[in-house]
Order: sequence, then structure tokens, then C-alpha cells
Amino acid sequence: MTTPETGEPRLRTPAQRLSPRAKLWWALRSALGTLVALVPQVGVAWFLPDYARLMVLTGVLTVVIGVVHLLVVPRWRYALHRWEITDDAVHTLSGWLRLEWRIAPISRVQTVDTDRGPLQRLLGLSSVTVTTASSSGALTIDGLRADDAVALADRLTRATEHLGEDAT
Amino acid sequence: MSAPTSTDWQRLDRRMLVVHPVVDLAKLVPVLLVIAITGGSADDRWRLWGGLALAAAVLGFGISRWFTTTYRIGADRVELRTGLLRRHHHAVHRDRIRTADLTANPAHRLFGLAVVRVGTGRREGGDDAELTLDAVGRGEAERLRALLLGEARPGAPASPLLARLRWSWVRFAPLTFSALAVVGAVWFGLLRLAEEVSFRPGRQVLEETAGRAPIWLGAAALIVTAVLGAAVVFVEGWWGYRLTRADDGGLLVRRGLLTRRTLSLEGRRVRGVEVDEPLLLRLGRGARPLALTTGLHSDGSGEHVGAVGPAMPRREAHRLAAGVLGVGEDEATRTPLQRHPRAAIVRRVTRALVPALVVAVVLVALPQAPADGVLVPVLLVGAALLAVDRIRSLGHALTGDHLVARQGAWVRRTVVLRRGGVIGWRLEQSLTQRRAGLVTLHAVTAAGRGRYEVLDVGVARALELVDDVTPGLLAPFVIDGGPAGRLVRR
Repeated sequence: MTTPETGEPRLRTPAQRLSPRAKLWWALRSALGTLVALVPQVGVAWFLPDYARLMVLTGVLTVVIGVVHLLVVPRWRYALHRWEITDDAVHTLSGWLRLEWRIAPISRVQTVDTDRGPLQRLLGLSSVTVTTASSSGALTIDGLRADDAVALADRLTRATEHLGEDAT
Repeated sequence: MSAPTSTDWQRLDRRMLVVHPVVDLAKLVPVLLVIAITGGSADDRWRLWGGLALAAAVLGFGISRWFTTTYRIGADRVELRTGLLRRHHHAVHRDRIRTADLTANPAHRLFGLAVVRVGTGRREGGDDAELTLDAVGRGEAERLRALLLGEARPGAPASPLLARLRWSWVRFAPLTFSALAVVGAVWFGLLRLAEEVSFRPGRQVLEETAGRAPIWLGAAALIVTAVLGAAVVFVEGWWGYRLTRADDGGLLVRRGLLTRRTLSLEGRRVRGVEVDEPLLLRLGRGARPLALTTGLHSDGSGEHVGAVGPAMPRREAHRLAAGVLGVGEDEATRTPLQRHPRAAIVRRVTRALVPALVVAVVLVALPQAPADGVLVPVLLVGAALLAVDRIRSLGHALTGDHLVARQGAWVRRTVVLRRGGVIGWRLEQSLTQRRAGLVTLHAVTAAGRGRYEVLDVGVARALELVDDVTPGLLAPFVIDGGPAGRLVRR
């Protein structure tokens, strides 16, 4: 391959960001994850006193990692996560250590779902999931403002409506 | 049944009056045996009567299934009614039908019957996406299959034959993974049998025999069962194997000795082909052809879905794959492949060697590791060979109609995907890939495993591939320049 080091093509980021509250949502989920990881350790320390010292050590470690994760990852994700709908396709960019850019052509979209978990409802957020005929072609935009999500799902549904094909 | 349509409703084959009860009864034999053996004495007579009542009930139920099951092939729907106490009405739209497969287990074959399984090809929906006629006469089954798939009637000009069984292929059977499963099953069965007849060798006996028997005897026993077992499974599964091309470009696979299977794949559902070469099979110069089609249900392991032939010589597999796609051999799985960038090769080496090195260092550092002198070199040489093999496998190409990608050492997979079968993309870049200027490109498709990856290509090349297969899709996002290696400029 004879492509020069500079001037290679790359991609600009998709235009749309998530709701800033998505940061809070990720932070809450991170905190919950840390708590879930702590429960068995507390259990072991309580019922098996022999291992209590070890559990204190791993527990402190868990809390430290959890707090760092909580402080860093949501911001990182928020800075990276983007989405955009062009005339042809839905694009999402997600991940934090590993970037992932997913593309679903509008002509191939089969279903558009919005979906709100308890945490998301608390924060007035919503997810939009777009599926295609592929078992691994689904594409999810998490942490949208609820109104935006409904509007987006509406727009996508309308865009796919008059493409009555099999879409496989 | 309502009067006006009752003339259209048909019953299953009359011979099922015998088959259903007999098969059900056969399943009951162990229970009845236990009852017969233990229930002979006078005060246990109720058990005997109970057993007889049970048998009568099973018989009655088996017979009732014939009376309660009816089906109808309407102009736009296929309908099936079943159930004695709980009636079940199941209907499938004919234009949704994607598959109509015939199977016949030994009982069916004895009576010249076959089961017709009508599928809509939907992945979700479980049982509701399928309708089973168990069973109709063999001729009727063939007629239904042709009717439902809109094929030419039987007796039409013979369809071209793509492949047929050659008995020399049996030599590949022991090289496939299923051979190992057979060994496991056989030995487990033997152990269970030994336990049943209370053959429990004492510890002393065991130690004496084990001490006397040389180790190669055990190894030989294992290998012999593996070879024989694999051969038996091969013969049962692939007896009379024929792969023919249907008029619409679809495929028809017939195979099986005891259970006869007929698998039809509609032409417009075929999205590509894959040639798999697991390491052992590759050493024997064999390969396994698969068709990538939509709507085939995964069989749990997801391994042999879409198998259009047994393990066969590599050349035959490539030729068969090309035949399935209807293109020349050097445009399918034998397409000359492009090498990947140097960084991708470096990544293969580091990814194989670094874990091996870590393990080696740990082994050496451990105070008591007697086999260091053997284990460490074996580990490192093995990792190096793995890396070399992965480098040799890695490649991709874009032909007029297809995207071709190959990778893997334990299982080398060559995937050929129709351009039109790509219904989305995924581009992934990890931190290390970003440093190396590589991305992994996944072509999303409705067939097979759902997506197929082109591992570690340069960023520019990946964007070029996407633009070539689906023009304009990424165009609004492509810009020039930026820090080297990054997929996304921020």
C-alpha cells in the first residue's frame, strides 16, 4: 500500500451529542456496579472471619477502582459518544478504550424501539435501538433526552415506512 | 371444522396410525420392563394393571394424534390443526415460507414416510416460525416441498449436480472436532455399561492392570475408537450425499443413512460461502464448505449451520464453494488476497508471543518447575508457529461481486460475502490498533453469524472498502488528514 503518512482520509465525528445527563446515568450505573462487586466481599468477610483481612484489602481496591471509573469513564464516554442520521444511514460512535462506529443503512432498518430503564426514567433519559435483519446488526443510542428519543424514533419509523422491502 | 372448507383439510398419512403409537410405545419400553420384572407377584398386581393402562393410554393418544391432526395448503396460507384436548391452530403465510425440509427417521423410512418442516426463516419467534407435518408419504412430501417452494415439479429436467459423496472423504472424518465428541460419548457409554453390570474393578486390580498395560495401548484404544466412531458418524450423516442446484439458483442437500435429511436453500437467501479449515483438518489437506444463508436457525453450537458438504479435500471444497456462488473458482474462496499492512503482521506476532512469554517467565521464576527445559521451548516455538500461521492466513480482497476475507490459525476461515448481502458496517479501533493505524472492519449481514470481520486493515483501506461496497454511505463523514492512524479525527 502506497498511502502517504499524512493526508490519509479519516472520519469526522457524527454531529449529535447525547444529553449531558447521560454522564450522570453512567456514573450511577458505575456506582451500582461497584456496590454489586462489594456485596460478595462483605458477605465473605462477615461469615468467614479468617478471610476478613483479605476482603478489606480487596474491598478497598474495589472502591478505589470504582471511584476512579465513576469519575473518569462517564466523562470520557460523553466526550466520545456521538450519533447522526444522514439521508442514507444511521451512524453511531461509541466506546471509550475501543472506539466503535456502527452504520445501519436506512433502507435496511427493520424495527425502531425506544426503551427506558428505571435509572433512565429517573433522569428523563431514553435509549433508541435500531435493528436490522442481522443478528448482530443492532445499533443503540443510549442516554438521549426522552423527548428527543421519541422524535428520533418517529422520524426513523417514518423514513423506513415506505421502504416496504424484506430488508435482508 | 367448519363445513365449507372441510373438503380441503387433509390428514397425515394413514400409516402414522401405526408409527406414532409404536414409536411412543418404544419409548415406554424401559418403564414397562421395570414394571413387568418387579410387578409379577400377586399383591403387586395393581402395578401390572397400571403398566398396561399406561401403555393403553399411550397407544390411544398416539392413535388420536392422527384423528386430531389436519392440514391444508391454501392459496395463500398453510394451516395445521393439532391437539386432542387443547386445540391448536397454526397458520403460515405462503409468501413467508423460506424453507421446506424433509427428514425421515428409521421408523418413518420403514413405512415410506417423511416429515415436512416448513420454516419462515425468521430468527426470532421460536416454534411459531415453524410448522411441522409429522408425517406424510414420501411422494406427497416431495410434492409439498416443490409446491411450497415454487419449484419445478419432480420429473422436470435434472438439476445440475454440484457435488456427491466420495467414499475416500471418510478419511477426513477423524480429523474433525466431532470425532473427539464421539470418543467421549463412546467411553462414557462403556463406563456407564460397566457400572450397570456392577463391574467395579477394585483399586488393587486397577493398579495392577494399569501398571502392566503400556501407555501406548491406552492411546491406541482412544485413537481406534475415535477413528471408528468418526467413520460411523460420517456414514450415518452423509450417506447418499448429493448437492444440486435448483432452478432459482438455490441449493438442495440430500444426505443421511438412518435419518434421511433434505435441506433446501432458496437461491435469493444465499449471501455467500465460507470454507473452514480447522487446524487438524488443514494438516490433512481437507476443508469444510458452508453456505451463508439467511433464516437458518442456529443449532446451539452454531457450528455446522449451513453445512453444504462434509469435510472434503481442500480443492473440492473450494470448487464446491465457487459452484454454490455460481462464479469461477478464482473469484470465490480462491481469490488472490491482498496482504495487510506491516503493522497487522507485527500485531499477529506480539499477540501470539507476549502471552507465551509471560507464561514462560512465570514458569522459569517458579521455584519448583521440573519440566522447564521442555515446556518453555515448546510453548515459545508453538506461539511462533501460531503467529506465522496467522500471518499467512490474513488477507482480504474485493472482487466484482464479493467481499473476501480470510483469517485464523486454529480455524482458518475464508469468507466470501455478496456485496448486496452487506446490510451495515461496524468499524472498531482499540488503543493499540489506533497506535498501529489499523481498524477491524465488520461487514454486517443477515446470514450466518451475522457479521464477518476483515481483521486489521489500514484506516484508508477500510474506508475504501466501505465506499466501494456501499457507495456514498460514509461519504458525508470522510475528511482529509489528521494525526496518523486515527479512525476518527476529533
